[in-house]
Amino acid sequence: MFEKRFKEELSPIKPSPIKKQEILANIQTATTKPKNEKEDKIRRFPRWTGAIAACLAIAIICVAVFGGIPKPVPTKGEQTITDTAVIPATISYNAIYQLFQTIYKAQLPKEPTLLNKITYAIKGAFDGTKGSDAVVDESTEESIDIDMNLSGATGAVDDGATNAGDSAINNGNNNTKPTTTKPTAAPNDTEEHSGTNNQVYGVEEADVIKTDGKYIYTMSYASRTVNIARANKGELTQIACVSISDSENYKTFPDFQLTDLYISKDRMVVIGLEQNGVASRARTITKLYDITDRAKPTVLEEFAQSGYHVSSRLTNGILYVFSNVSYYSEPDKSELSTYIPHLYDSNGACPVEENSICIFDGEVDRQYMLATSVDIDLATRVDSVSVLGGGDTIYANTESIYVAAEQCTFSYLEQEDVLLKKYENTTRLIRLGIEKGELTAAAEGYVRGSILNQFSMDEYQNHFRIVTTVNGSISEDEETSDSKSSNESGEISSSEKNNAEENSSPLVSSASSQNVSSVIATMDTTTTNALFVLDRNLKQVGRIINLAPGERVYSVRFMGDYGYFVTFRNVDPLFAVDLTNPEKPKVLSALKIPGFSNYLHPYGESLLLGIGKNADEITGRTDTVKLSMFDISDPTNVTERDKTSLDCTYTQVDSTHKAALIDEKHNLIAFMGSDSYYVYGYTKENGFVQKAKLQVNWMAEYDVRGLYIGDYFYVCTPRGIDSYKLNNFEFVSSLRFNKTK
Amino acid sequence: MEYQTKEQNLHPCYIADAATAFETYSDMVYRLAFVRTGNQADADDILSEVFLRLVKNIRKIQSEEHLKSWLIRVTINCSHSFFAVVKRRQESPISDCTAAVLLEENEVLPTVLKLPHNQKTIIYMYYFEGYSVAEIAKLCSIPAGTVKSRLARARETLKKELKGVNFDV
Repeated sequence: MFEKRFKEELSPIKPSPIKKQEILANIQTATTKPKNEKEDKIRRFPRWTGAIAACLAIAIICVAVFGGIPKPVPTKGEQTITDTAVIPATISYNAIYQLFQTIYKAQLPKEPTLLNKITYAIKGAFDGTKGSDAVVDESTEESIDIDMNLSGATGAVDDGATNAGDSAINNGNNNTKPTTTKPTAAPNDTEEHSGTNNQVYGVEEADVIKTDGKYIYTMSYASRTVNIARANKGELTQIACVSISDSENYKTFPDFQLTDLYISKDRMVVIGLEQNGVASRARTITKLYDITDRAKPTVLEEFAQSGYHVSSRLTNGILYVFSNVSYYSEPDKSELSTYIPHLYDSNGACPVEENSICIFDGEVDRQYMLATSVDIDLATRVDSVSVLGGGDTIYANTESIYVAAEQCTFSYLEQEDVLLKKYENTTRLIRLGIEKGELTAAAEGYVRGSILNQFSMDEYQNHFRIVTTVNGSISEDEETSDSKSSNESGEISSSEKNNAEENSSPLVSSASSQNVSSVIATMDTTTTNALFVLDRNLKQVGRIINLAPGERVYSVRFMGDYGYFVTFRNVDPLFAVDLTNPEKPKVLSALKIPGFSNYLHPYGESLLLGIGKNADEITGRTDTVKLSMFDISDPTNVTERDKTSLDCTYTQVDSTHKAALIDEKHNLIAFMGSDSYYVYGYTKENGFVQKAKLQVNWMAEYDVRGLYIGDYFYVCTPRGIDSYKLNNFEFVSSLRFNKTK
Repeated sequence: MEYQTKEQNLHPCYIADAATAFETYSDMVYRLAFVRTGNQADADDILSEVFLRLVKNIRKIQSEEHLKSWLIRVTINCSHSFFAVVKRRQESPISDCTAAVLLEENEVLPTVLKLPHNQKTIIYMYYFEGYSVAEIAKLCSIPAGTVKSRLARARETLKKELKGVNFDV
């Protein structure tokens, strides 16, 4: 059993007694030393042998520059161009059942055999023109025919709920279902206010705290409530405390967690996760409220979908909710709920439609990424699409949604008499077209490497750009997109062989198959980084590969014709890339500075703000938080114009970009640090200036957000809000939420 | 402890002691650091750093549970700068004897260490420390859906790789 073996193998890993003594002695010394708050240096330890000399030189790669000063542009939706795309194939219930059944059986433990390749290949497309396709599991040398044709006989269709866990949602807590009134405009007396730090203009992202300029809405994970407070020139009054999980349904499911909050005019959306014990029974719940009367929010409608919540977006009045559902147990043909995701609303439960399920080409996991759309004005569900193969990161603009799924695959390559195990990480992509809530799977593709987060992706002028960290290097002639090409012959291309010799130090790992006569070793590879430009069909048109070997991407920001990203090991190169020609992206400069940025944000005219950490040049060990302002007026000569260090070592921006409030107009760069809320300003003359360091009164560890309404600044946590004057940060008042209200 | 917040006034006074915390949690911090960095030398350094930071921030700790979660988060933060995917040194590929021994005798551990960082952290917390998905989500400040999705992916990868090992989901 995995768990047992894992524990057995990891348990002996412990610090040595000598090391423990040493650390304990240090702790005792440090504890008795009088504290000096100004000295916040982290100790350095001399253990590091083979120190790497960090290069502080600014490396500039001179290439042709596109004329003019690049302006940071908010990414806006582009005109849709119809073109011939590789559309992910749709698949029938029956085919899915057979596929899952096959994979399930193949996963069961069996006699070890000589392994040449481990892959499930689903060959061919499912457009009906090809005949039955075979699933080949080479390790067992069986071949199973599966009729992937949609017109084939389908299994029993399940119309209603079949399991206790799939019971329909009822609006039990409403006496009468309120008529769906059109939401009115935002309250008239709202002042200028800040909003969520969205990646794309026009596409709202969920956050735990929202404001509409008159009220502040705060979601509490712990107490499963949303507090609504009126903010009026610094004075705060609690208006309502909505208990989300109070209804009949949720008494039986105590494990209900709130994840997302949206406010749009008189609508409030709360998204949460309900876990029923078994993985395949988890559901993502979307509750839509009418908050015309802020003191008495009422539930308009409830929707649910199979799976664990991944992300959501709100664009043009349509809410998109993404969840991930997996089915790893043995499927039961007559019970669709054992292999097909379901949708739930007040009418009951139903499986997603067959023609709304599409499948990635090649090897797939038994998990779906399920995307649904809800019109929040009409309180109706519009559409749904499921992608078999899963997905974990979303990039959305106003016309498309890109779903990225990280995959780690293995292949075996023979090198002389040694069988080398090669790990490859890839990111599979699907583009969904969105039109007033209608979802279509429009294209699929893949790139080598893994992405960092949603900022690693961007669409601009009908091209999709993506930055990845690759577990290895990419040979010049290697195809890194189109349908997955596996190394059939087992031969290593010559450049890869060179890489293998240079970089690899094959480690002897335990042979999991006893019958193997040759040694199986793991090929150790250096990471590299890459930038790919794909067209709307997700076919690669341009790329830059093998950048910054030995490092990984720490932050990315695309800004129209230019892209910036940071890689790091000991020293942070900030790469500036010219993307004006999608087929020939070029690195324009690589600014090397100690430390790194893990969040980049355009700031005013030709400036780029970086929030990150200082790090020791030699050892790479991180230190305090650092703010950098880069001058990007000339991308061939990017400089770090100004910088400042904070007296803390962690910020909430490390975990999420939404924790950052960055507003040039009001000159605010604000976020929660280790134990205070920091507010900085920036001017070209004076650089960074700390405007305030605010105590957060209720020791909230999570989800601290700053926002402004009119002339007042509010620091919000799930437990309460503090208000300050925006001009001088003089404290005004405090509100602590009352649950009983 | 002079420093009290409004919140702390409502609870019985909890006084954390760094040395005691070290006795209790050094193994946990060490193993988490080891899983993330893949080598014991880095784990040693992270262990020192985490507990020194604890000394500096000891007054902020409100409860035993808070202490544990604080330690986990700081360990994860510290290990960011230690990601070593490549053998940096020019000497023999395996300079750390323990690593060689580990890899020769062990079946599942090397495979777990090869997983992407996010996934192996969750595997460690789920299978070794016994945290639930909800607890992991809270500790790492990520949605439970992300935890579950990473866990699922990691399991799929491990199941494929560890064919000889019975893996129940």
